[in-house]
Order: sequence, then C-alpha cells, then structure tokens
Amino acid sequence: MENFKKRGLSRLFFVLIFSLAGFLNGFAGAGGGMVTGVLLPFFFKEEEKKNAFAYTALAVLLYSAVSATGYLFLGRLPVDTALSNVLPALVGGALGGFLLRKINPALLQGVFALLLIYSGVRFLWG
Amino acid sequence: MGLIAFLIPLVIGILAGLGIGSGGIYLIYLDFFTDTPQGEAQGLNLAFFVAALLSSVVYHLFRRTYRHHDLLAALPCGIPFAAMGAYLSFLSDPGLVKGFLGVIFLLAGGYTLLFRTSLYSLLVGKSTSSKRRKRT
Repeated sequence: MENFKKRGLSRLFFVLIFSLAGFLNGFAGAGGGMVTGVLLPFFFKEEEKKNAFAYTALAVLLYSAVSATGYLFLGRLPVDTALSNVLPALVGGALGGFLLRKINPALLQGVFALLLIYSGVRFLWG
Repeated sequence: MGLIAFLIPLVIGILAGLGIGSGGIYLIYLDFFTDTPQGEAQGLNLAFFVAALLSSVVYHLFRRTYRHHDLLAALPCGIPFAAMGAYLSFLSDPGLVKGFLGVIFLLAGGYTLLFRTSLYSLLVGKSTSSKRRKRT
C-alpha cells in the first residue's frame, strides 16, 4: 500500500475500480469481483496480496446487496427462490472458506476457467 | 428434488468460498440448466452471493483485515453505480446483457486460465503451490 502511495498514484484509481465493479455487478448481475479481484492485488505489497480477496469480498457483498435490492424493486428477484438459497449459500461459503486452507484450488480454477470460456462463447454466439 | 435444490447452491457456495467463480457460476447454472428468465437469473445470482460472501466478510471483520482507509473510503463510490447498473439492465434488451456477460466471462476465463492456474506455472516455470507456500 505504501509503495502505491510512493508511486504517486491517487485514490482516484480506487474510486474508478469500485465504480466499475459496482456498475458491472448491477448491470450484468456478476463480474464486479472480476474487476476488483484482478486490479486490487496490484496495489498491495507481496506479503499483503492475500488481503486483496477480503476487499473483493466486501465490495461484491456491498454492491450485490444494493443491486439485488434494485432487482427486487424492479420485480426481477423471485423472493421465495432467493430465500431458499440462503442457507446452502451461507453453509457452502463458510465451508469453502475453511477448505481454502486445506486444498490447492488451482486445478478447480482451471476447470472453471474453461467453463467460463465455454459459457462466454455460448452467451455471445449460442 | 428438494435435496438437489439444496445441494446445488451448497456446492456453488463452496466454490465461491474457495474464491472460484468470479461471481458467475450460479448465473451459468441458472442460464444453462433451468428456464429462469435472464433478468431473474441475474437477481438470484446477486442475492446468492450476498449470502455466500457474508461468512467471508464476517471472518475478515473479526480478523481486522480491513485496515486500509483509502480503500474503505473509496468503497461506497460503487454503490450509486451498482444501483444505476441495475436500472440500466432493467431497461436494456436481455440479448445485449447476455452479450455483455459473454465478454465478461471470456475475459475472466482467459485471465484465470493464463494467470491463476497451472498453465501459468508452466509458462513461467514455477509451481503455484510452492509460490503460495513461500508467501504464507
């Protein structure tokens, strides 16, 4: 973080990153975490980089809550289905956080990256 | 059916907790395996990630990870854009939003494949696991 200040860059970058992440989350219902997850680590010292995920989680949580409220008011959030997902999502999220210390998710990330590319192609040309 | 309806979000929640997913994995499931309309799928994905990330944020709050005031001060700037994005999405053609999502997924998938998997270690000749051990 100090290095970032020394490089003479301003807080404006954070404002731009979070604004873009918020917009993507609201517009597409996903993708805010991609922006913060990719860009924020560049502003952290090597030993602090793992903390960047904590800020990504906080930003996505905040923007998802705001966007979901908007979707609710616009009639695009089926409340019963959303509520039925709360418990498994809470349990799964906590379990994933616990497993993060036990396993190396690199292989899963590779599989998921291919799934993302496949989905991207299908969304664009499917 | 009830068990499957519980297990699918549970597994996706685990993947989200592992930091895998870029927030889109539940959206992909809804789009490809159910007949949920695009707008509702986006809304459900957002609500899902509020729940899935809650435990992670609470954990970091207890560990006092959030100490960088510059970042915390800039965080609320995204809120009006999130609300604006939600409204613009409502006004937009679902096909346009799908195309936009396609671009996001291709970028996220390409980035993950190149820089966060063993393909990256093959390219730079380092093991990601040994790199992780060194950091911790």
